[in-house]
Parts: sequence; C-alpha cells; structure tokens
Amino acid sequence: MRPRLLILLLAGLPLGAAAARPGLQFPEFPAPVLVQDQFGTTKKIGLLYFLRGLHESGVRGYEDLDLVDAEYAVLHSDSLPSLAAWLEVACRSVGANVRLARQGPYDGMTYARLLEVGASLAALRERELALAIPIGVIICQRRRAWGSLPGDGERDAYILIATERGLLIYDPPTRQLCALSDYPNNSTVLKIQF
Amino acid sequence: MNQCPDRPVETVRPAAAGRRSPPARPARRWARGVIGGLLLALGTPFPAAAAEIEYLVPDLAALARRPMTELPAPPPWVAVASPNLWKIEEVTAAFRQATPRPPQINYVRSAFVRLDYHWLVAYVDWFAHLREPLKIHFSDEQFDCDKFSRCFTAFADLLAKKGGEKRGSIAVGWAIVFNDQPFAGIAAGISHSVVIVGTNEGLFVVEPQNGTISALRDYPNRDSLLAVYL
Repeated sequence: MRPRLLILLLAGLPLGAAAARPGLQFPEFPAPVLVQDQFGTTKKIGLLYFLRGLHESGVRGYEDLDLVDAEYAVLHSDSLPSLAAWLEVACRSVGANVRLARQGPYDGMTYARLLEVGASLAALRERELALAIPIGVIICQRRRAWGSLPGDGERDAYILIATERGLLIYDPPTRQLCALSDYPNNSTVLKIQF
Repeated sequence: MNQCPDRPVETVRPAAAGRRSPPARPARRWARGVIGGLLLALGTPFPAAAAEIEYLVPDLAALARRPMTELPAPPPWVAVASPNLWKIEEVTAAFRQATPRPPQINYVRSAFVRLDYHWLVAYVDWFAHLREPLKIHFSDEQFDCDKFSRCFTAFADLLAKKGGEKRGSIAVGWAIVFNDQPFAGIAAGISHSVVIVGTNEGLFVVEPQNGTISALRDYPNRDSLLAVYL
C-alpha cells in the first residue's frame, strides 16, 4: 500500500505545484460609455468617418489606414479617465508601472492592444452590439516635440480613440492627450490601425 | 451657462454695437509704426504659442471600487538566453524564406525578444483557460477573429512584463490573412486574423480561437498573409 500511496502522491505533485502558483488578479474593465445617435441607439461609424477625421486633422496618406472591422461604436470622452485608470492598474497587476515605461524600450502598440481588448471585453460583457470598439494605434515619426516627448525623429506609437470630440491621441506613460488635429506630428504618420 | 434662455447668445463686436475706439494719439501712432516696422524687418521674433498640453487624469478611485477578476496561474516566463534581439530585417527575411509573397510588417520597435517555444505551448493552453473568467466568446465585429488575436497578443505582452522581460517587445503579433485554404477549423475563402510568434525554434502561426499551432513554413495560407502587426 505504501509504495502505491507514494506513487499517487508523486503523480499529484505537479498538479499541486501548479495549483499553489498564485493566480493573476486582473481589474475588471468598466463598461465604456458609447455615444448615442439622435434616435437613442448606439452611434455607428465606418471608413468614411475615419477618412474624414484624418482629412480634417491634417493627416495625409490614407493608404496607411487599416480598418479591420466595418462598423465601430464611438466612445464618449467621459470614459477616458476610467480607461486610463484601467490600463495603469492592469499593468500594475503584473508589476509594470506604465508611468515609467519609457525608461526602457517602449512600445506603444502593446498598450493600445491591451486597452482595446479590455474595452472590447467590457462591452461584450454588457451586451452584444456587433460594433467594434474604436481604440486603435497610430505610429508616427516624432519630428516635432509634443509635451515632454522630444522631436528626435524616432518612431513612436500612441493610442488613437474615436470619440464625440473627434480622433484623440493618448500617450499612457505621460498621460498626454490631444486631438489628432493638434498633434504636432500629424504630418508624419506612418500607420493607423483600428 | 445660458443666462437668458429665451434669447440666443450673441457675440457683439464693439463696432457692430455702434461704439468706436478712441483715435490713437500721434505719439502712440508713431510708436506703433516703429514696432510694426521692426517686427516686419525681423520676421516673427516671437515663436508661435505651443498648443496647450492636456493631461488625462485616470479615475483610479472609481476603478478601486470595482471587483478584481481572478485569472488562472500563468506559466512562468522563460527567457530565451540569446544575447541578441531579433531585428526587423531578420523577421522580414524569415517571412521571405517561408513565402514568395511576404506580408507588410508594421512595427514600432525594430528588434524583438523571441519566445521560448515550450513557453508558447504552455501559454496557448493558459490562454484557453481565460475564456471562462473573462467571459470571452465570439461576437461579430465586437469580439471576432482580430480581437481574439489581439487578446492573445496583449496577454502575452502582460506575462512577459510580469516575468520581468525588459530587453524589449516580445515577438508576438497578429496578422490579417485571406484564407486560401481552410486552417484550424476556419473555412477557406474569407478574411481572417491569426497570431504570429517568433520563437527560438522559428516562426509560428497560432489560431487563438482553438489553440492550433503551426510552423509558418507549414501554414497553408502563408502566401496570402496580408499584414502583420508586431
């Protein structure tokens, strides 16, 4: 009996070790507030909205716009403080400090993806919409300084969000936010992807 | 604030209101002329006012009141012991080796940390267990193939951060593909999205909806990959 018991115990060891590993505590994403149209339904936007937004913001080269979905909702800018908070807390849950992220090799694309995924999951949890969440990424060449970010010619990426205020750029480490039309490097955009 | 709701708010210029500015005195006129001339001669001596920077204040207090979601214990990060990062030129070359029609590669960083292949296998298994706690399910547009791919990529990024990977971005991205051939239960003849992973054993394609892994050289739609976002 004893050898059998020992074998059983040894067989169960890896399972026990995995169970002992702590799980990941992840903040629940607050449901994003979506803009309604005049009929009280969720406002839908598509390719034309983005093309017009880019044109009005002074961005040229529309071939660099990639839209993966056909229809998107519009985020209310009142949601932005909770979106930004979620991103910082989600990163903190894995021991990463967003505010210090630019001290190492920074990749803004990872934060854009994470925020879009979090917002999409929250919207999905609320109700099925058949609309994509309009959080994307914008890759630019930093020719001109923007706040504390230098104009050093480096490639950089930010979060781009379609809101009722228009297309807004957000940089998580610096918390800088501005309309795409006011972004100093809107003429050196390399790629926009939603 | 509209103080007079019955009447539209109007902006009235002094001239339109019938008021005139008092005529400038000759000395002032002279001074204005000199200053104006100097400005013209020197061009614009004052730089254009920089646009005011807006800072977003995260609502951390509201978030603190929300519950936390318990996710399963992730696989421990395995750092590939390679002194060199994988340069974008090498990524492009790897695609060229696998297909005569390599996709457009979009990136921010120009070098990446390759994953340990065995960690990838463990991660794929872990990702499948996120469906229940995060209530992940397919929903047209809202959470479709590209969201699955980005979700896979986003959590891989997070686990690399959790593992203390500070050398750079990991070589995990997502791709848009036209399915010439069926793959991993996804039919042919549609646009689709998959995950692309660079590992110490080469480039792999992952179908994040069911965890199928294939080496890029064996992936049936490698010639119809349209764009990769690393």
